[in-house]
Amino acid sequence: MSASNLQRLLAHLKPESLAARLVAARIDNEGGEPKEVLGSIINARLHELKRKHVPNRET
Amino acid sequence: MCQIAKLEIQGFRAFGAKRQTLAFPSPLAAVWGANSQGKTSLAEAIEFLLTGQIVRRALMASGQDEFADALRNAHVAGDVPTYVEAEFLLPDGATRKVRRTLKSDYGKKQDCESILEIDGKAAPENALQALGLGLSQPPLRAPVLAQHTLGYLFSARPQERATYFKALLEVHDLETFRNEVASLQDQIKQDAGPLVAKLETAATIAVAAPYLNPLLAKAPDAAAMRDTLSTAMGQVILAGGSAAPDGYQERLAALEALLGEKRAQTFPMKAFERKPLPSWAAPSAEQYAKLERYVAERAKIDEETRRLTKLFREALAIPGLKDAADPLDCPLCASPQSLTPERIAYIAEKLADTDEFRRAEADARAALAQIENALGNLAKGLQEALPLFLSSPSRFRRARGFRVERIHALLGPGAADDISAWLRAARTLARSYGKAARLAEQLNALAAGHAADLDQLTGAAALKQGVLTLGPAVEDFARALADYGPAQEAVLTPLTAQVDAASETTGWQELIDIARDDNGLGQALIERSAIAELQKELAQALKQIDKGNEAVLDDKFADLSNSVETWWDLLRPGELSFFSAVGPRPGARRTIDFKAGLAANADRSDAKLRDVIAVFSQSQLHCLGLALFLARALHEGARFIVLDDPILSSDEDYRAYFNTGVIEKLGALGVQVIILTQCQKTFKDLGQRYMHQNIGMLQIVLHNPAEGSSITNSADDLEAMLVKADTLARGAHPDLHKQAGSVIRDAAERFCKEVLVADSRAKGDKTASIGDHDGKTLGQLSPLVEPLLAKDPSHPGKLRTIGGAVNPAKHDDAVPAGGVLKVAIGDLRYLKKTYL
Repeated sequence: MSASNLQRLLAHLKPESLAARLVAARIDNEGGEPKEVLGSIINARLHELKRKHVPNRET
Repeated sequence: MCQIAKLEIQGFRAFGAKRQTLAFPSPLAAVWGANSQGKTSLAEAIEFLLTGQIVRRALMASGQDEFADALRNAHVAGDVPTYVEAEFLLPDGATRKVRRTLKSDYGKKQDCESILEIDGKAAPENALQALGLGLSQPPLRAPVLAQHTLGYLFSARPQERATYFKALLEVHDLETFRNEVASLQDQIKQDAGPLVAKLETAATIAVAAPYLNPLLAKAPDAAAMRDTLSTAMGQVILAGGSAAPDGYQERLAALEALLGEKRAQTFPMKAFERKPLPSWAAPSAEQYAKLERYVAERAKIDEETRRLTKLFREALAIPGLKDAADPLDCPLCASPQSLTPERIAYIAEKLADTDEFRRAEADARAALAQIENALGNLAKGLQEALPLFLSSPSRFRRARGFRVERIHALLGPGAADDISAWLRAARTLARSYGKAARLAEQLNALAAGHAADLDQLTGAAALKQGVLTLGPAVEDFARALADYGPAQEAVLTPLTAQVDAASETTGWQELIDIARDDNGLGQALIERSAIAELQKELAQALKQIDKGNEAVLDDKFADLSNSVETWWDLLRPGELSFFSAVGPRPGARRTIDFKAGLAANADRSDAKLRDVIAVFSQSQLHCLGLALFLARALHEGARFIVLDDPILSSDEDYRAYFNTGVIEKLGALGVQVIILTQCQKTFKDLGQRYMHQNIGMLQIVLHNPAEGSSITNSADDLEAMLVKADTLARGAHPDLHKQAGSVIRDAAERFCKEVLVADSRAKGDKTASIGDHDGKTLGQLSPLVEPLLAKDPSHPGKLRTIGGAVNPAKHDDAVPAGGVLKVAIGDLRYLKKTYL
């Protein structure tokens, strides 16, 4: 997968957005298994959202 | 840079059996040939070398069978190989020889086959890429622009144009990425979980809904969750006609009891209850060994000793008896002085002999107790694993109204099959239970019997045999139980719903379940809310990626347009009809249109956009085809390009623009350019304009189809003239001698000009060229050159003699003699060899 197209795409996305995080992860792990690479970003975001939903509860 | 230094062709299309060699001394070369002399064969030879195909066949899809036997020259003998070989100069200065030999020609239906070799060794096709000879997308893969490929883009459907620019506009990786992200939606799309589903059901209880519904909107903290559930339970208990106790656990228990009561009024649901089958450990080898050891130790001691062992132990336990130094009265029969120290020692000795036996006996009893206990637990576990309606007496079922007819009535005729399957499974379960329970009971009785009368124990064999029979029976029961579970569930689930509806307790069980696991419910609600938000974010991310991907494609189209525009402006500067853009058709991003700007003002400010196909002239389309080819080739990193008649012969203006702006820019970009042309003017202009760059000047001629096209190095024009003069001088006709004399004069003038240019350059004039001496005759040139022929005093004289020898050829009535001509040719060759 050519990183140049992804780099161009990244330039069109809002920094720190989920889309930008997914693209950046794919660029950083060009040879990685997409499901794992992108899945780790999704899991991290899910963890953040859980914390956000219940601030008084350990998640 | 990966450029062609030398090319060899044999037997390929117009080229014959004699190997033809083209040397490229610099990154610029021009090959002149009249029509049908082999120029296109030369372009296709390079194409064949790189791709193993010629694209002309692919482009003429309807006539592919007409290319049968097209690659191999028809006049070449069968044992002569057909091949193209090139020596490539690599960026590191190394040279690599790439050779492709035709193995089998095109057939009417099949492709040709060829063998690729690099430095004499067979190589796979992808080895070319490793050398920096990357190819473009099919069909036009090689950086070779021929007449039939130049018009391809305009004759191709707009959708096919996208393929031509695929590498430039390639966004397949973005589409792949988009799909990878889209697939994450499935990954995070999961069920709300059983606890959330139960909450949703519990929230259908009218009196509990006001408290439970808010939980579905937002998960509270643990304490609030517990308060809410407690309140909901209290409301349900009150509505059920009971008083709600204060504590959480108390309310939970009260609700369970109330539910049981209400359900029982409709149907005894409790009769379905059963416990999981506990695991059962068969007696261990160690336990069996303890029983066997006991039997062995027992055999070592006679029965009388064993019988008296307890008595001996009791006697020795009498205070003072064991260590008595004097005879004592017998504590049993009161015989005076009968227990002497010797007799006491004898009793102690006998007792010591039974120590091992007593330990083995204790171990055996312990082992039997463990076995009895395990078997008892098994029997209990087997029974409790049965649903209560099976483990209870029939009068229990009747008393509580547990009747199959009632179940049929509650579930209706649609459940008949499920009820039959459940009953079959129940019967199988009951049979397997009966067998396992009977065997467990028998084995338990055997173990109990051993424990009660250990003296009768003869070993562990009977127990072992019993266990061997019991084990499979227990396994059969476990299997029957596993089959029974789903069958019961198929009946129990709808029955529960019916019973709850009839007893107006729908949602109660679910409320009890979530109240039992309030912490789990809290976690599940948090997970649910987080996933819902993540799904929204991911959907948003996909929209952003889609928009971004479109923007990337727009960027790439803009890049391509700018690149094509650059070449177009070099070819046709300042025209009012001009190339404007390459763009996707609205609504069809894979369909490419070429837009022309039609302006009335010089600054093009008022340009109207139209499709180029509709408004461009043939000359303009030709230039656009060239500009598109150059934009693509450069973008894809081509380090050399081959252009077969890139400018129409009639386009005088654009020839000048091409020969200057385009060639100079390609040179500045470090691209090797090989131009094939039938236009003498183009050829000569290139030769003169780029002589300072040591342009390679070659000619291709086809004298005889059987011999094939041949190549001559026209940079060595002088030699070509001498060859021609030699041929003419050999003829017998006076006219041929006159022509030979004329050619020798031209050759002598060329010799003089080249000597003068070489001298000027040696003195620092790097711009000196043959053109500086255009129009000068041999008479004018000779005096200038003679002083430079200083390697031998005889050399200036040779030049003067040549002039004298060819003078008669200028007059109509004078014919130079053949011998004179041959001497002149010999002298000129000698001078050329000595000074050039």
